[in-house]
Order: sequence, then C-alpha cells, then structure tokens
Amino acid sequence: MKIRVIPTILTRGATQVKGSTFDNWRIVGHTVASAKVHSARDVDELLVIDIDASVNQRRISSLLVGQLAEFLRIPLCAGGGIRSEADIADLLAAGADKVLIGTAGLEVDGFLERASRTFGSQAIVTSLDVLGPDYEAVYSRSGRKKVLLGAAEAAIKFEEEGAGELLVQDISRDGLMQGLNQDLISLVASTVKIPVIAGGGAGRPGHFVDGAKAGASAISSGAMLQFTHFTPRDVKEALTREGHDVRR
Amino acid sequence: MSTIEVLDLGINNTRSLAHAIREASPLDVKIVSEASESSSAAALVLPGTGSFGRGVAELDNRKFRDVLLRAAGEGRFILGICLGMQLLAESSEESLGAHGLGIVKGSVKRLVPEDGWRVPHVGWNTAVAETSSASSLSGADGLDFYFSHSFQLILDAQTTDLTTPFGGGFFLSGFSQESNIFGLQFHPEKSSRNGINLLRAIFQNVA
Repeated sequence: MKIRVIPTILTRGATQVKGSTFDNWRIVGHTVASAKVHSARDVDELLVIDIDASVNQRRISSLLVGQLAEFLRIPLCAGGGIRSEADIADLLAAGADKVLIGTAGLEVDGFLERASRTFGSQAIVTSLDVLGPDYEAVYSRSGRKKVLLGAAEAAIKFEEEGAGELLVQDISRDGLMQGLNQDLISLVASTVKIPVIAGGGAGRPGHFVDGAKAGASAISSGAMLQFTHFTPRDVKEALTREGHDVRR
Repeated sequence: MSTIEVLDLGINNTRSLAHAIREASPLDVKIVSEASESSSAAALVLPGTGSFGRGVAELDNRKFRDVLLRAAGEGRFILGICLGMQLLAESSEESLGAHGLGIVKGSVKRLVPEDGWRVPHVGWNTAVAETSSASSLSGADGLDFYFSHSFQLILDAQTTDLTTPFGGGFFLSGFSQESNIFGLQFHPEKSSRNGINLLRAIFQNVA
C-alpha cells in the first residue's frame, strides 16, 4: 500500500489555527485558502478538524465542508463535535468523504457501531489522543477529559465497533515538530488490522519515514506542511528513498 | 441536451462526484434523489458507500431499481462506482439475502487482510489494464487511484479491464460490459487528475 501524506488543517469555524499540545491556539490564516494551497500541491488527502467544536458543543461547519468539496478532487475527512448520525449524514452530503470521531466514540454508547453500520466503516475514522508514559490514558474533548482506557484497549474497541481507520496522536508532541511517537504508533498498528494514520509531531520528512517504519499507513501533519519549507514532494522523496511506496 | 444523472442513495457524497463529472464532461449533470426525478438520461451514475444491504434498501426505497434495469435493457450508459459497482451484481457476502441489480453476473466477497495489507483497503493503489482490454478504461493502466472498500466484486465472466494488487493477489478494480455498462471500484472523483481524465475518457462516448 502507498503511504499517504495528509496535511491537517485545524480550524475554528473557518479560521485556521495553530496550537501545541492541544493548547495555546493562535490564528494563522483562512482554512479555505490553506486547503487551496494543499490541493495545488496535490497531496493525497486532507484532514480538517474544528478543534474546540466538541468542547463548545458546536460541530464542524457543513458550509465550510461544502466550500472545500467544490474544488478538492482528493478525499476529505472532517472532524470536530460529531455526535449523531444526522451530523455525519449532513457532512457527507456537504462533500466530506469521511468523518473523524473522537469524543463521541468514547462517550456515547453504541455510536460508532451505529455510524459504521449506516455509513460503512470506510466513512468512519476514529481519533485516539494519547497521553502518559505507558499510554495508559486516552483523552476526549480535545485532550481535556481523561478516559479510563489504555491506547491499545481503545484501539481494539474502535476497531471492533467498526471504525475504518484510526488517527493516533501523542498529545504531548502535538504541534512541536520534534517527531512522532514511534513506539505508540507501532503499539497501535500492531494491535489492529485497520489502517493507522499517525499524527502529532512531524517536523521534517524523516519523521514521516519514522511513522511508516512504525507501521502507519498514513502520516498527517499540520505545522510542518504549513509553516516550513518542506513540501509534500520532499516527504514523498524521503519515503521513496527508504523503500516505501508512495502515490505517483 | 443529453443528461448525466447521478443517483443519490442518501448515504454518500454525491456532490463531489457531480463536481468532478462536470469537470470531465460538457453534458448536463443532475443529482436525482428518487425515480420520479429521473427522466431517461443518456447516462446514469450509481455511486455509493456503506453496506450492500443498505444500498439495496435505498435502491428500492427510491425506486431506482426499475430506472437502472430499464436503462440497461435499452442499452443506455451506466457507471457504478465503489458500492455502486458492487450493486450492479447479484449478491454480496456483506449482506446475505439482499438482492443486487443483477445487471452483471457475479457476487461480492470480503477482502482478506493478508501479507501486511490492511482492511478496509483505504488509500491510493495502482490500476493495471488487461492487455486485451480495448475499452475506455485501458488508459488508466499504471495510474494510481483512491480506494476505500472492504469488499471486492468477482464477475462470472471475463469482462475484467482493470485489476489492482492486494494481499499477494489482484482484485477487480474496473470493468466494462457491452460498451455501455461500466464499474469502478475506486473513486475517480477523489483521484485527482487521474480520476478526471478517466471520467473524461468514459463519458466521451455518451452523446
């Protein structure tokens, strides 16, 4: 399988924001404009997450998703505050191909099972936000609420409930560009059979290679692909050099 | 002017597909959400994601079954994409007892995660054209497309045009039958310029 390079745009409404360790948010641009840049660079996929939708009981805007779908000819995953099947239907109708579910997957009983049965596993990506030395805790509500499940346990739960992909992030590395947590990625990738997207911390092309080596099928990155001189092409060249297949 | 109708099963992203087809074809593209809105279009596109059973239920709820069978009988153009391609067949392991359209003879089976491959098969993979293929799909040979599925269509007859490597073997990723029935397992509307070019080649023959 070809390793996917997935830029992540963190958004508040339609405003693009940047943070670190799921905190310290500042405004850095406009989400639609930023998505256009990624689209012109022909990335493999795009992930757009409204970072405090869940906490503020909002949901990622379907208007924003609709605007993105007009020009994107690559897969779009939308996340933030999704709590019901109606939310998912609305976002898919607006032009999302899949949705990222974090909080509701941990807090609402039976939600993932119902969602994956209705929309198919391929439309459901779950988010595994992890903190702690032994990955003993995953978090909901953008890292604000601790859930009593270890990373591996949560990964198995999500897979059993029908998730099609898992986005794994070490909260302590988010936005710092110091590298991914290979150990965590490899723990999760060896625990489940569904594809794993590794996020949180890539700062140079070599970090994407680390993610692929640890077993990730895709690596997502916000800051690096937005604020450094490294391009998706640089990343793909690095992956190819290390023997990983990428999309041509 | 001739029309391309995209049949909306209410469980998938029809909007992106309509945008992509408009980019690839000068014909009028219309999204229809039930049979009464459909009017003998030159081409019907059946997209779809989700389970086979749900797809079959929506085909019947929206009375699309007759629309599609009539179009097939009249030799009009039909393109099934992803679940839509699987729905053209008779049955699926995913939803036993659910009756597909039977426009092509075959059945749908689960992909098995082997050799380090993961299921669902999500991401970019390569289409390989059969050397004998003369259909408009053969231009896709060697190009990468976006896939997102856990099941594969197995046809009774040899109408294979495109295959794709998976788990040590290959699965059917595209076919054409009698030059008017087409199926694609991948999403051309999500496959950047490769997808648009393929849609252009496919719809070139629709007048």
